[in-house]
Parts: sequence; C-alpha cells; structure tokens
Amino acid sequence: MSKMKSPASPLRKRRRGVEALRARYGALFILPWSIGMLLFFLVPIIKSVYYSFAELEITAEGIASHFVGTENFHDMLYVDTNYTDDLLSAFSSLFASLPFILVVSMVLALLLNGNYRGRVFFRGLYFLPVILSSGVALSIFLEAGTTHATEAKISSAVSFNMIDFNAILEGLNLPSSIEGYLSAALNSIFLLVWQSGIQTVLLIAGLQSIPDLLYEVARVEGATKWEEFWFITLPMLLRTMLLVVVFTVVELVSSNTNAVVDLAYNQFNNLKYGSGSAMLWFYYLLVGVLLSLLFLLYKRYFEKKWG
Amino acid sequence: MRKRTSKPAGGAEKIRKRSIFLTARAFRYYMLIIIGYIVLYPLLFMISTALKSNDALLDVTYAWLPRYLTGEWFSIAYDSLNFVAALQRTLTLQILSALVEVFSCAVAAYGFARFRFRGRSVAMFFLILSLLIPTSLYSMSLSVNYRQLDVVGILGLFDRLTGIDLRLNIFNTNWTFWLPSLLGVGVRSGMLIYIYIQFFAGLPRELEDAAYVDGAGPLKTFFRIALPSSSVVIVTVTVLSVIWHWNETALSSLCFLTDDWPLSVAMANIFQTLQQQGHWMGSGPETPSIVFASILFFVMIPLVLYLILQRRFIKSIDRVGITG
Repeated sequence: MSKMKSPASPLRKRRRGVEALRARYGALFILPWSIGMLLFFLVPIIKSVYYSFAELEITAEGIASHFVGTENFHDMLYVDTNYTDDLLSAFSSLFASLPFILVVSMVLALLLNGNYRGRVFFRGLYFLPVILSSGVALSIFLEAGTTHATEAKISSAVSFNMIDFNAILEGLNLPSSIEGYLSAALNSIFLLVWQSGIQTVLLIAGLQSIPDLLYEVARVEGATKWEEFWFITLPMLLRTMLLVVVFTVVELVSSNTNAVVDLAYNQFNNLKYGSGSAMLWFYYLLVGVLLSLLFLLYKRYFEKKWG
Repeated sequence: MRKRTSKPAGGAEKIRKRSIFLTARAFRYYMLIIIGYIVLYPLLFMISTALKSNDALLDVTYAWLPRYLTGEWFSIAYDSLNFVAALQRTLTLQILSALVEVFSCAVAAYGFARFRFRGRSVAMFFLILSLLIPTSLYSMSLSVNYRQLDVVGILGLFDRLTGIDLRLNIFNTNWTFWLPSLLGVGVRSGMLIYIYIQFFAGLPRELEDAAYVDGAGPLKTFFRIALPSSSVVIVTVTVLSVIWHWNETALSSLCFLTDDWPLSVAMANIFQTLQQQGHWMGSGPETPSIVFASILFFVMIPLVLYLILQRRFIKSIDRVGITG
C-alpha cells in the first residue's frame, strides 16, 4: 500500500485505519454466530443430505452409516404408497389454506390499522393466537376437539349457528368441489384466524409504511375507498405480501400437523433416519421449486407492473 | 381533521358525510367484536368445559356457565403433566436459553447492521437461508450431531492421528439447548437476528459516532450506547423468543432420553400419558375436559405474562417495523 504513493491526506489514511479496525470488530461480533452456524446448521444440513442416501444404525460406539444410493427415494416413491398420498394431501392442504390465510390476515390488518378507540386493546386481543397457538397447544386442542365428543359443538359454535353456511352455498349453485372447499374453509374459520396472527402483524407494519401522501393525492383526485385499496394499498403492500406468503409456506410445511412431516417423524421414531431424511428432503425441494417460481413471477411480472 | 380542511359543504352534504363516517366506524367495531369472539372462543370454550362436572357435561341446556363446577379435571391434568417438575425443566432448559438468545442474537445482529467486513454478504446469505429452511429438515441430524460435536472433521482427524477424542458429546444434556443459544443459533434465532438488524439499521448513528470520538471502542459502544437504546426491540424479541422456546417440542423430544420432560413435550404426549394412567375413557365426555384443563395449565404462564406486557409489546412491535 505504501509503495503506491497515494495522495491521501493523513486524515484520510487515519480514516481508513479506523474503517479497517471497525471491519475487524464487525467480524468479531458475528464470530460466535458463525461458529454456531457451522456447528448447528451447516454440518447437520450436509449430514442430513448424506443420511437421505444412507442407512443409519445407532450402536454403542456412536453412529454407523452406510451408503445405499437412491434406495430410500426409490422405496418411498414406488414401494411404500403412504408417502405419495401424504405428499399429495400436504400440497393440497397448502394450496387450500394459503389464499384463505392471506385474505383473513389482510382483512384483519385493514380492520386493526388506523386510529380508533380501543386500538391497543384489540391489537392485544388479536395477537393472542400468536402467543398461544404457535405450537403444541393448538394441535392438541384440535385433536381433543375433533376426535371426541365435542366435535359437533365446536364446528357449530364456530360458524355461529346463526348462519347456515351450507344452505347459502347450496343456494349459490356452485360446482360441488368449490362448494365443498368453501364450506370447509368457512367451518374452520376459527382455525384460519388463529393461524393468521403473525401475518397480520407483518401486514400492519406494511400498511404503516405506506406514505400518507399517496392517500391524500387520491382523495384530492376524488378516488373512492375501494379504488384507494386496489390502486394504492395493494400495490404498495406487494413486497410485504411476498414476505407473508413465504413465511406462511415455511410455517405450514414445517408444522408437525403436516402429513409429510408427521410421516417422516414416525420414521425417525422407528430409527429409520435415512428414509425419514429422504422424505423431508424430497418434499422441501419441491416446496423450494414452488417458492422460486413464485419469486420469479414476482420479479418478472409484478415488480415491472407496479415496482 | 379532514372536516376542518375541506370546503364548507351544505347542510345535507354534511349530514350525509357524517352518517357515512359513523356507519363505517360502527362496521369496524362490529367486525372487530365478531372476530374477537372467534379469537377468544377456544379459550372460553376450554375454560368452560374444563370446569364442568360429569353431570354438567351431559346437560345440554347449560352451554357456557356450568351448573355444577368441579376442579377434578384440573387436578388430574396437574398430575398427568407432572406440572411442577415439568415447569422447572422448562425454566432451566428452555426459558434460560430463550433469555440468553435475546442477548447473543443482539451481538450478531449488531455486527451485521453496523459493520462492513469481508464475508458479510456470505454470512447474510446463510442467515436468510436459516430463515427459509424448516428446522424439521435437520433437527434429526442435529440431534445425532450432538453426540459427536466437531468442526468440519478437524477433531475427528485429531482423534484418528493421536487417539485422543476431543469431540464433545452433549447429547442428553442441557447443553443441547444452552450452547446453540450462547452462540446465537438456537430456536428460530434467524428471525430474532433479522428483527434486531432491522432495528439497529434504523438507529441514528450520531450517538455511536460521538462515543467513538470520545474514545470508546466498538464493544464499549455496543454495551453502553446501542444496547441501552434498544429497549423497544428487546421487548419484542424477548416475548417472541420466550414464546417460541416455551412451545418448542421437536428438539426437546429428540435430544433427551429421559422421561424428565419439559412442559411442551409433556403437553404433546398428554394423550399417551392419560392412557397410561388409566384416565383414558375413549370417547367419553370427560376426556376433552381433562385435555383442555392441561392445555390451560400449559398456556397459563405465557398468557399471564402476555397480559402484563401486552401494552408495551404492541407498541414495541409497532415501532420496530418487522417487515423492513
């Protein structure tokens, strides 16, 4: 460096020295985290890739594994029919609940945002599901509620008993598949509301980051609330919505109520680590492909149109 | 506000606007209360069912307020969960690591948000990756890995060369939770670090620059300036971290061989426990009551904490702006 005879003033030199020092400190701050990532993230992930091509045995000395090639994948796709069935049901439930969670959390966010009396109270109320349901409590509740005597009570009370959704849907004369889908969704509305907690929080944060100026202009131009929503709120929320979709998908595919995850954990409990890993990898690779398609779509189409 | 700035309108126009405004507000409250009912419904339902005695459970005329109250289901649930022991386990294992993580994630996030250094973008890539990859994918190999902790095979090679095995076996010890938390890679730490980064990036630099000028090093600046001015984000992160640890089941059921379960695992296994203890009545009316009573035990402490912290938490979430 000194040979280059740069015309830098002493001040700038010192500045650069400070920068270098600060850079070193930055690395120092994330050093523990990097070691942790290596030990508890990267190594396990790479190992789990290997496990999906292997068979594992836990012996007295530790773990013995031997490579079996693509046998695990072959078995689960062609020999054992459970996996493909569960894969299909996991994907169909993903596609079924994703749009509803999006809509419900959007409605909640729009309702909760803004200035009105009791705002903090309602926000606190609506965040309750995040506190209570992000784990076992909800799945045990559902299990107790659906497999036992209370089933009829829960579903009837949740749809309020006042409105007979099924009758309305029949009156609309929809194709039976759509009708079944809608009635299932409406009957599980409490579940959907309970699953949209964090998404609502994200969307509220997104709503608050939209500059007021845009709405003021729209008002001057005489736009209705409806137009405001479609031409300002929705386009401005697009980035947040992408985040919400990604978050929801990750949440749904990793929850222990997911059919494929459940099957894989059964394999783990039966000490079949290899095939369990293979099942999860295959499933998550498919989900990953879907997410990247979504991302491409967003980049190509939406960002150009509104970005 | 808008009323005053808009042009003075005619009387009828004014009344029309006013009535639209009032209708919209009434509609908002109407919706809020209905959805509030949906949110609260399971909780109220559980409390009501868990308090009903056998006679009241069969009595359809009393839907909500039971005529005969009983504490029987609660005492059975208390025993099946092994409540005190499980709570102690949860506190020492999970809640302690949750609190450690609040600190260790702040350290890592400060490094990301405030410094430019080589390898930062690579590290950032892995941070995002850890947000996207579901834990269930690698939690099994993680638990196997705990038996022989090693950094890219160096210690294994050392073992082969010298015969001294330095690889730690922390499987079935509390360190399976404590060590990752100390390093800032515990349960959902990626999300916590991400939230911290968003906050630190928005923190004004002037204070820190002033500290540098006064001769404080980065470490001192972090502890004396950055951390004390982050109480807002610390509330959010603490609540989320405690909740996520409280509900964690996958790792705590994979990494331990004992029956000394934390509350979350005891909760997940409640059906089996009830069966073993002979409280399983098939589809009898009291089974849900016992299960609901144990769920209420399980959520009681986070619920009370949340009710106390609620105001601060909601405000802090507003100000942190998780989306970025």
